[in-house]
Amino acid sequence: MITVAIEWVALIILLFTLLLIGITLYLFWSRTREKANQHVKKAYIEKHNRHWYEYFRNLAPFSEEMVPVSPYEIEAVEEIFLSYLMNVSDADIRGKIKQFANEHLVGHYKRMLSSRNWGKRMNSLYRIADFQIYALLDVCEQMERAKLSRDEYFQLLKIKLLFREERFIESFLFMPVKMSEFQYKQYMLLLSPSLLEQLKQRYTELVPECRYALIDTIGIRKEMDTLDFLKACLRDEDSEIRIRSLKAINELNIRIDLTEYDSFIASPVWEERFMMTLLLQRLPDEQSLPYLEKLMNDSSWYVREEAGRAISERRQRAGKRDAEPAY
Amino acid sequence: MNSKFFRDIPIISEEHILNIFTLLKANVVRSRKTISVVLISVLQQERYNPDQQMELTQQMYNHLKAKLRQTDVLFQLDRLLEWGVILSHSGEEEAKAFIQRLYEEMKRTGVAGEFGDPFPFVAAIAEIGNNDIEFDDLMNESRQALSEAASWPGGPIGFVRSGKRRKAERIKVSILESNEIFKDIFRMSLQNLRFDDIQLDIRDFRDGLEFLDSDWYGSSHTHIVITNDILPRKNGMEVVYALRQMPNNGKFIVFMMTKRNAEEDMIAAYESGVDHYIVKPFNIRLFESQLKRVLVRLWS
Amino acid sequence: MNRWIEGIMYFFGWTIFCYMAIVILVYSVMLVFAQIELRRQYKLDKRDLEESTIDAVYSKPVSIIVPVYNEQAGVIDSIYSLLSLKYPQTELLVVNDGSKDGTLQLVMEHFRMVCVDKPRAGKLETKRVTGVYQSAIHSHLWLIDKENGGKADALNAGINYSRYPYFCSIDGDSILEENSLLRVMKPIILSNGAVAAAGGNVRIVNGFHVQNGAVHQTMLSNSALIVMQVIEYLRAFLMGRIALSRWNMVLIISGAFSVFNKKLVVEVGGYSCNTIGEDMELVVKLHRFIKEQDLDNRIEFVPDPVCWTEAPQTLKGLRNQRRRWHQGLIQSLWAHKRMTFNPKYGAVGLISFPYFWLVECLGPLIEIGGYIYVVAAFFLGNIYYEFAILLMLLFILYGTLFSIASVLLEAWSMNTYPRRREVIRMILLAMTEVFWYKPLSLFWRVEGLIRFLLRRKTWGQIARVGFSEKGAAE
Repeated sequence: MITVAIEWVALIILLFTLLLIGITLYLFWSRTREKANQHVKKAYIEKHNRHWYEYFRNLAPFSEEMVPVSPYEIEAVEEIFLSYLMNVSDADIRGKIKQFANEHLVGHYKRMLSSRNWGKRMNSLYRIADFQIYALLDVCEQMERAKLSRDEYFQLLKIKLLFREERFIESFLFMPVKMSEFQYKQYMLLLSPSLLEQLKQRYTELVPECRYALIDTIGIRKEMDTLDFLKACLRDEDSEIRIRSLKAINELNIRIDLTEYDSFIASPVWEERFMMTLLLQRLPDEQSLPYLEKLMNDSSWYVREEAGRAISERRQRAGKRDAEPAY
Repeated sequence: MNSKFFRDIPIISEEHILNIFTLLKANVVRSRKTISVVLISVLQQERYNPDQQMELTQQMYNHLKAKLRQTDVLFQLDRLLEWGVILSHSGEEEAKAFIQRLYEEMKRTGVAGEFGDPFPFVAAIAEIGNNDIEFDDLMNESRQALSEAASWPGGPIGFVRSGKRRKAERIKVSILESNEIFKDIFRMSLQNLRFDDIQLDIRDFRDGLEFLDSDWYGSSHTHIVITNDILPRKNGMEVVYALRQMPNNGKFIVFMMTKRNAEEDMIAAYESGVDHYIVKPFNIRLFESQLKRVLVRLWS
Repeated sequence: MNRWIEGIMYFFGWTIFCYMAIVILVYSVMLVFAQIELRRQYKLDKRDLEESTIDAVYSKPVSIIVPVYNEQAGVIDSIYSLLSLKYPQTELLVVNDGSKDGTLQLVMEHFRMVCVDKPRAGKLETKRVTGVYQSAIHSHLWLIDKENGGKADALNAGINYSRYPYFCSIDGDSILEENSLLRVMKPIILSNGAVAAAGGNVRIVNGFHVQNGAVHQTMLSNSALIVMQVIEYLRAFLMGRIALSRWNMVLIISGAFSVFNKKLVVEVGGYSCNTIGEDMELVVKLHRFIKEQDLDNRIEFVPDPVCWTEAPQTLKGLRNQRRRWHQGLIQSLWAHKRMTFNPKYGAVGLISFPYFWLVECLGPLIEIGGYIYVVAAFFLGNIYYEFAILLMLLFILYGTLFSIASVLLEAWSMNTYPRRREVIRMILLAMTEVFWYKPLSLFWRVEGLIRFLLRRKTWGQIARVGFSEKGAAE
């Protein structure tokens, strides 16, 4: 029996060794290939970086020589374009990148979109958004029907938002995957005012994370005409919605009517009381001080801390005011 | 600018002025501040008798002393009815304004009236922008300009231009950027900038340590450092810190490029010695204009 | 007599054989799994995410806590490198754990620290804090000066004064890349905060050209000991961390660089000051808390290399390190032994804990038994030869071949294209592993086990040993 086991183990070892030898050879080969490819890429950059610069800065016309021929030259062009996009904001240069990508890189990215490797498909989607390749929009829309990962779907929808805004809302509301709040927020910040308005009207159809993102975004974008919407959110059952709405109202930087909010000062949720200490600071002292003093004895450290800070700030200001006539 | 508050401005004799001129001239290039040498003379001197000449000389000194700053130099020449002034930190335009103010003043106080109207003096202005010109040559050329101004209806000011030309100044520029492609883009952008009297000496570095290990930043040249805030090995802030610790660190003009746009970050950067904070992505033409302005401002 | 020996040999032989068979099976499964996971994102260009995450409005702010103890040589460099991490909203809390050298003065002067009256937010018990300072240059740089109490204590003090909902613990001597924090925060941001803690892939930096907080040039070390450790880290990475992380069963995320949800950490009482492996202890406590409170939080491992650390260069240093690690590991397992096979704790209790008990804790004993068996078999005569050969083959499969496989598959799946000479060197070294490195490290771990058994009542004193791993190794 042991002999049989030895034979089996020996066989496994043999097969395993052969497999490892295979992988080793493959690695050696791929390193050689990769080195050659990197060389192509580097050579292209060395040769053409100047040409691109001159073309972008209107110092020289575009020349056909600059059109990349192999995938590695395309990678080189990607590198050059990304270096510009990340560092330089000139509209003229960005326009030229967009134009070139739509004329010469469509085929490449289309092929990559149909790759079986997830990483390659993602890269392609990133570049379509980066270089604004609207020529591939239809291909992207067809992709939506297939079964996709969350990241792919996110990027596809972003592309739609960039190039075909009018169809965004429907796809957004009925998306088959659930995004994270972070991803929702990325959309929200890109939305045009009219789309944001539409989304607000269909607020009830949104999932909680998306609602959070929407309310946060309103605060960040300081949309003044949304106060009524935010006030309506204050009546929500979800405390997270109420907290974020209070935060957004605070960011609008307006003086509030305290009667509408006083229930929050005694709220059982400390975050709400904390937001109130912030909101109270937008009011004149005689109105806010009694409440702030009450909040000084709050059960939460954060509320006490903020209330204490606000009060001492006010006292300091008052002290300065009193001292002024002496000058 | 009432002279009562200042120490009396001494009148330097012709034999001493040479040393002072040499000193001021050498300082011109180093401090990048031009000086102007003004020679003032009276037309048709033969019209005045010796007493009047003495009186005129006295009057002129009084006026000049009232108008001059402590940093200016007043000197006397061996010839009669000739006065010399070196205006520090001044170019042609400032000197011209100075002469015009002097002229107005004399007219207002009536000095001119005493000796005939208009008070007939002429001036020659020589802006000094390099340290090649010799004092004697300058005086000869100034006198030449005086006589031309005297006969020229556009007078009473003549200009000497031979000392004005600035020598092309070598200014070092360092680019600290780890992205090779963008580093090249930057280099090309800088190379395409053209200046009359400035020669840019550009070098690039991949990271902070490569820069700090080089002996490139040790020289006394004005040095523009354009650095990314995030760099491998030593980052941008570390480089700024090291540079600002050096003696004579005023020669460094630091541009910091960054993706951070929070106000706190900007304040921290300026507090630590950054001169210009550029948030990426930035407009490359805007950057070039900023840089040009900085270079032009070097001379005043 | 012979019958006795025969019985013992028979029993041990089969125990060792079964153990090896199980372990080899488990490793194979994990290896295959890691491959599938890594190949999926093969060639993915991660720049886009990093570019978008940098915007302050998207991200969750992080407090970075750096405990320092007698580190005046490198502290300024460390702080500068942390200040330049690509991350939009951070605060940096340097906790001076009662240094006896000039660390405090140096930081105070260099960053123009001003004494401030910052009240403590957290309630974790720590040694007395003697001063809180804020930098006049970088308003988000703080210095907390406290009496000496060890690394865990210093981290707790940092947590007390931190402002943001997440904190990141960093060893003073570890080297980060500029986007390390972004990468480690990525699972947290993308999961709506369901990920309670995340740790990065720690790599060995020895031999690489390092200068001023950045890995400059990648070149394999000349020292066999270091290369063996590199291989060992690769193995742990491919045959362990990735698969365990996928099913939320990670028990160890490196203390050198990891991010935690502050609220949960405070709920479990922060770092434990009386254990040797405070980082593992915290992770286990978090798992326990999450399951007991029925939360759906996860603890994740990020496969990107984000943190570089210096490995011990001498046998003595390595021995110290391994002994300590093993002792800490068993301490945590023992302290939470009730979680073992307890269905209440889900996969952690049913799989992780038994796995750690068997493979990590007792494994060294059994494997050493295997070595002894092989040696004994040759003395005892031919009836045991065959079994000895079988065990040896298993050792080779388990030790050598899996090590070689890790080296190759890591290169393949992470697209690193290593130099031929380096690959061959690593393979050759991996072949020698069974003869020296493996028995040595087994021996050290058994030492750790023995120390645990002997000194379990004097934990408090052991905890005061060296601050950073490097300090202990030198």
